[in-house]
Amino acid sequence: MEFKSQSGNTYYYDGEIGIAFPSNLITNKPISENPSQMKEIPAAEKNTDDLLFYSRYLEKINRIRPKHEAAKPKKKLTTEEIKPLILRQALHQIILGVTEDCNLRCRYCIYSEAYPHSRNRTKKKMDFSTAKKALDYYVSLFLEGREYNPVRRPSVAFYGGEPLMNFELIQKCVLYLETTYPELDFIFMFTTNGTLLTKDKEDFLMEHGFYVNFSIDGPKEEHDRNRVYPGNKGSFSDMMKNVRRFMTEWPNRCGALCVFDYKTNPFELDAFFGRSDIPRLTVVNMPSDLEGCTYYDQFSPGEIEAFQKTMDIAFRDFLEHGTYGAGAHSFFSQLFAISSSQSLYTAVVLASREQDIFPYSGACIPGRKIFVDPKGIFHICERINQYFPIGNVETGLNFQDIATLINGYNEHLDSCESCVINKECGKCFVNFAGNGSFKNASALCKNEKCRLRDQFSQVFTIGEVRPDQLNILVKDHYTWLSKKSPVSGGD
Amino acid sequence: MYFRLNPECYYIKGAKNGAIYDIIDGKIYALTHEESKTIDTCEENQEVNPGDPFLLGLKHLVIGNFYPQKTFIEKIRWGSPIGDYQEGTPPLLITAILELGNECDRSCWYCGQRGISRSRGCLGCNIWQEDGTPLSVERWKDLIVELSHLQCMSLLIKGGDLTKDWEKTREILEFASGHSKKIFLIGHREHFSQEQLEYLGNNATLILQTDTLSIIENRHTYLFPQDYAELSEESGNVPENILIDIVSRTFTPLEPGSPLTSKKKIFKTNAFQFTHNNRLHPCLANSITIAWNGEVLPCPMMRNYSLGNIRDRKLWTFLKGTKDSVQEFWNISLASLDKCRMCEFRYACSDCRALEIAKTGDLHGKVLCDYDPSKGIWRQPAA
Repeated sequence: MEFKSQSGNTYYYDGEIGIAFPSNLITNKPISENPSQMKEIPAAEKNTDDLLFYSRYLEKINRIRPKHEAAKPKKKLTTEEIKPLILRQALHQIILGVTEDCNLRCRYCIYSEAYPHSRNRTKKKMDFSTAKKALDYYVSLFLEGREYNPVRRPSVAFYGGEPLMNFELIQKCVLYLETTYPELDFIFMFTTNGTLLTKDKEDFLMEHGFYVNFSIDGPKEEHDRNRVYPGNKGSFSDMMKNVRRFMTEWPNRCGALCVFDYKTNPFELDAFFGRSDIPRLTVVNMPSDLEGCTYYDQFSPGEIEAFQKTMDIAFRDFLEHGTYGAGAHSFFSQLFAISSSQSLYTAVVLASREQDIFPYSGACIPGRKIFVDPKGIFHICERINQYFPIGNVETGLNFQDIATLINGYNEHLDSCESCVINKECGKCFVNFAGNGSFKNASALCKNEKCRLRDQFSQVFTIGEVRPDQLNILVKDHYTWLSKKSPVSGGD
Repeated sequence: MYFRLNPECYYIKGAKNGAIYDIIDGKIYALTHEESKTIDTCEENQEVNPGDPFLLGLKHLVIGNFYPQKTFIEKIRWGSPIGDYQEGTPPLLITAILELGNECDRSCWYCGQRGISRSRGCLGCNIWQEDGTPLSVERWKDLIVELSHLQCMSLLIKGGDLTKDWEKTREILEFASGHSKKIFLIGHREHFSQEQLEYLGNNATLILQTDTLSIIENRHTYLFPQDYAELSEESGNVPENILIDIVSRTFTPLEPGSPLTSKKKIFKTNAFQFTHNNRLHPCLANSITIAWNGEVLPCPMMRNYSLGNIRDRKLWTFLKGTKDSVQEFWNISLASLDKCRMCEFRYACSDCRALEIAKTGDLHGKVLCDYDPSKGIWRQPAA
């Protein structure tokens, strides 16, 4: 796959090795016609300097190229193989969906009407009996799994809806775990819209070492465009009152999750997230574009084009001036360097993927996170729809169902073997999940190469101008993420 | 014109000079101070003279190339670069060394019980003057199961004369064969009858200690002790299946040019080793030793660094990644040692902590090296 940086350099992405080469490194197009350059080359090779280099280089690279073997039938996982895999590779976090209720009506919420395949908001709340069973089960598996993976820490996240609408349950769960399992060093975290975070609640959360992710979309006008109460009143003022107070005491115990769209002014976001009273950006994302999503229907082609032009200007400024506002934490650093380079930096080069459970895509093994809904049903994560349960609080994880899910998922990756970007792919169960069955990759992945080409173009352009900056930003970001949570990012 | 090192070539800076690591060819190119400055310029994407004979030479070696514009070079690597930051990834356990016994009737001059230092002592059969009672066969079996849960890639079985309790050796070896794909077994050649050798050879890869080069066969690997005081130029000229084990009480006088201190310490590199050595100790990392009496050690030669006894504890408790676990030793990368930190060869150099401790008394000490990175000079042997 070829792509160009903004300077006009052409790169060739080699899907077998998993990196992109400058294309004049691996083609026999001479780089320089200047014969004076050949002075130091031995006489016998004088006229073939460049050609010799290319042929030698290709021979060298081919030595690490994976050997093409005859296609083997894909191995299906058995139920017996699943449990040890989960004990070793999974169990990084249990996420309790403490309520499906929310005091806001954010327009891009995946539980809104814009997402027909997801559940809608309900008044359902988890009760303590369900939460206790889920936590006890998670801890029992975690303890059993220590013999397989001794370095993991147990992590409990509280999710909604708005989890503060069932704060009493969060309190009970934390006190129960700390009392029942005093020898375990739990990580507690939750994601909130911030509007209900009173001082009392904040004190409790901080006393128990929580890490808090605030959903903040930017300055008032931007935030209030989508993050609204029923009746469309914006939530910015209520959220900021609490976030400011939180930040005066606990600036290192929180982060911001930002969602933007084609109506966003990126310069305003960059200035906003550079402020010292705003939590550090953890993730920037556009609203999920899952199958059937109607959120994007509101944008006209003109709006999309105007936004892209603004982003081009922002990118040129970013290249010229380096980072903005908050330096490595800035919106533009996140957007241009960290988000865009994610495929590049998460790709596994030379080493094989874990256990070959998923020969393609970026899926986690089910059970890496266990999302528990208010009724006590276990799901692969908090983002997947309700049609792919993996167990429940009464009977625990269903290893047979998990084996079936993995095998079924892999069968639907029908176009991945020949896909040049299969080492870079970040798609997972969430992307392929339909109404009870998986969609084929061949039907869903049509724009992936274009998307990745654009990302690579951006990242390689930054790398040409500022060779060190990319590594510094990425290292800084992932070091920070690893300190706050055992499962990177947040939702 | 610009010049950039290829995706497989890494430039590593030292205090004075730099080195280029080619992780495909495995070669390490030591640069002079001037050459290092030139590569600094190149890697910062600054313009260079296209007629520079040094850069043309690098191109000829297929290490780098000229580009008409500023170019970004994505590096070839092992794994994912953000893997290091992902907390909770299970530890990679490549080797577990299991000392099944501590008995032997031989009195080899180089045996560990004499408190002697050996460059490859970890591969010797050795017994020790230590207290304790041997672990039971059942505990060894449980341990082997625990190792398989941790996906330990290979077992190295040793511990004095393994024929002293031949039934125990057989029982554990056969059990291990059902749980591990790769098993090495170490003993003195003279411990074993031909029949025992046949049996062991069918169940494990053998490394045999010997003092007699004349008995060496091609089918096994041999460990041959060489007195440090008698080392000569020819000492290293042996067939590939013979490992020379340099033995001394004090390694004194520590003359420059010895295999323990010279450029011979620098090994060929590769993608895995380069990535690994960036973070971890080149030898201690990814291994654990269980002594005959249950003591858990970072290395069979570091007897004073016990992490505790496995008799009443599960193996995972020694691998938690906390201060009291074996990873504390794994994490002693050469970049964390004062002398090595500024050395351009720090990601390709071998290092024996047991020998350095014997010489300096310090877990982080370093004297077995002829190179002075601050001056970029190797100490030379006297003429």
